[in-house]
Amino acid sequence: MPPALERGAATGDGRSALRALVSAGRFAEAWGLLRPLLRTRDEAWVWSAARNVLRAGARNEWSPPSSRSARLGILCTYTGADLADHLEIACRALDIDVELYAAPYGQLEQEVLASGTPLAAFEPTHVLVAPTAADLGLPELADDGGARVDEQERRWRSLWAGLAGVGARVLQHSFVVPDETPLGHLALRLPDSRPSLVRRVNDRLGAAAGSDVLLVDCDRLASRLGKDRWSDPRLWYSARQPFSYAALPLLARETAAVLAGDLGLGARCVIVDLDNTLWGGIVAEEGPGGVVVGEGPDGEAHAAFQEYLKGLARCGVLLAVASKNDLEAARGPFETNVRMRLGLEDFAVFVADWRRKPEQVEEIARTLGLPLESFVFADDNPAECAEVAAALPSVDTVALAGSPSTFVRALAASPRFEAPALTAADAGRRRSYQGRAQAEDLRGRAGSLEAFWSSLRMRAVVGDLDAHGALDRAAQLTQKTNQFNLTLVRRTREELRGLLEPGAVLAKTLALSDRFADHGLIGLALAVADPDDPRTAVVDTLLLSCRVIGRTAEVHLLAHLSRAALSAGFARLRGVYVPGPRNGLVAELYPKLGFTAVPGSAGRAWERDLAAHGPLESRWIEDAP
Amino acid sequence: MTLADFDATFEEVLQDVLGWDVAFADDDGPRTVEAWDSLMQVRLVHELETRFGVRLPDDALLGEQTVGSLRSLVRERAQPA
Repeated sequence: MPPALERGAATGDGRSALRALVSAGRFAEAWGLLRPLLRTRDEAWVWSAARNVLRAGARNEWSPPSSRSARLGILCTYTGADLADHLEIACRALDIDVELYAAPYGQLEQEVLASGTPLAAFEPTHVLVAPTAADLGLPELADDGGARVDEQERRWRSLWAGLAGVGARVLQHSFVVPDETPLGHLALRLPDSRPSLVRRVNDRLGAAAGSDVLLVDCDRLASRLGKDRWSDPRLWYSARQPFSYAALPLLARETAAVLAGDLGLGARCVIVDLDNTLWGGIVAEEGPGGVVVGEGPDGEAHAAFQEYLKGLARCGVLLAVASKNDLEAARGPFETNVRMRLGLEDFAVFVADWRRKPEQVEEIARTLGLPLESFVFADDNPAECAEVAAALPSVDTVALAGSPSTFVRALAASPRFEAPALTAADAGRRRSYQGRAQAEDLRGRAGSLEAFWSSLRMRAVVGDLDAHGALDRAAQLTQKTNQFNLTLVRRTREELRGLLEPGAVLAKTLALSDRFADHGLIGLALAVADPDDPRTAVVDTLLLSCRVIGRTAEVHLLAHLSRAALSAGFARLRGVYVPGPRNGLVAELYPKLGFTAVPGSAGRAWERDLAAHGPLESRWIEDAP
Repeated sequence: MTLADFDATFEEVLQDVLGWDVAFADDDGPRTVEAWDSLMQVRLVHELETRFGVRLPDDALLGEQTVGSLRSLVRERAQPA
């Protein structure tokens, strides 16, 4: 929380400050204060203030900046207006420009399975299915438990299938396991008790969801808050709302976080400090063996924090160090202290010097080729968090205040770590980015760019999109890639699969390795026939993951695509560029590759005459045998 | 809590829930305030209960209320000096 607002909240000044900004029409400033609060805090005044800022802003044609948009349909079996209201705020706080449609309550199958419904007309990109355990109609003790669980699985899966038919991704709230049961603790021993059956339904839905349905684990959230705070029976009986006002901000934020993860807005790298963050004490004073880690209450807490970071890394989040230390001293504990849980190999970038933290963070971002929004910065020093937050407002900061025993919880509270799925590429990503950091080093020494490319000894595997696992990763790439992305067309796995079915599309994926790292699947190109000119193939999608920009990988991909176009009978390949907020670096890609401008396209379309000049050639990357 | 504090906080809750740009009279209610629907009343009662640390009777949630009637319900329980 910005310190001024933190103090102000207690006295009412924070609220007055926000009101003053709003009446002065300074909506962006008011929002800038609220946005970080909404990402971690549940207090009603914060959410009320956000509602008022958004409302007043909308009347003045202001809306908060966003980096993705979504059309979210909401299907509740209860009064969902408050949830919708909080969801809109939570989505905005996570930079999603959201349009909502809330179906009348209880209209689930009706909205999904009938044709021409308002939900279908709304054309949602995502639909939230939000039921409660009361919908399961379970007795305290069933004599046909298995059949009831089967029946529930069928009901929700058929709804999911119907929603896939509408073309929407599904977010499903899991069921909150009821806390009050006349069976007491005996309930756990009886597989057909109501609590056990609700758990079994959740397990079934989890297993059935696969990578197609995004589950929000409401039971976990309710447990975190405490189930007697989660729900308010008076609200349930008088307003048919299954959760209390205390629960709404948490539920809305976590639901929005899962949506944000699916839209590619999750954090991709955590930057941590060392002294009093990864270990207790100052390494320059205590020496590599003297820092507090692994033993004693604080040492165990620091070790647990390291383990948590390791877990994040396994889910595909990169780790980086930004420390004010001499490099040698900073590396010491990783090299010689056996109680450390993290090793140097766990970090994609390791910066230890005496520059200000914002400069260190910027260097890490440059080295990894990731935009600043991709980073979460965690530091025990509130001043350094504030400095980073002020200089680089798009970096999320987590202040690890007080005892190290609180660190895991503070980081876990961030809504930025929701991955839509684990892909095989996640496992290899860390090595790949480390490889990039080493390659950056080499670039400094390699002299000419050509010598650098040649020294990398790059190998490619170019594949078709139907290969096992490629669809998930390709969809993830279209969602996440902002810089090297010529058309910014975002696609879900289903949309990609839909394209492939008629066989009318040329599709190539590119996996790249070099002598430092295997980067995994990092490129995608799709081309379709121009409807007005069937002999021209138009490059509908051309994108590369940030970590391989500047390696001629795009040439390799286009070489394969143009060969495929020639053999499919196309005479020309047309490239287009659609400008977006961050893809300026590829504006001139096609002219640089010798494509000629299409007259009248205003510098947005270029062609290569394949019949006359043949396919493109890739010089620096070899196809793996 | 003084009576002045009570009135200021009461007004603040009304505005947080129903809109910063609205001013309220005691006989305002669902018929006169556009944002005041049944759901807003539930939210309003909840916010008043939280801010003043009181519990209002269940019919405050659903029954016909005005700014004035809610103010007396809360004041009886919060007992500002």
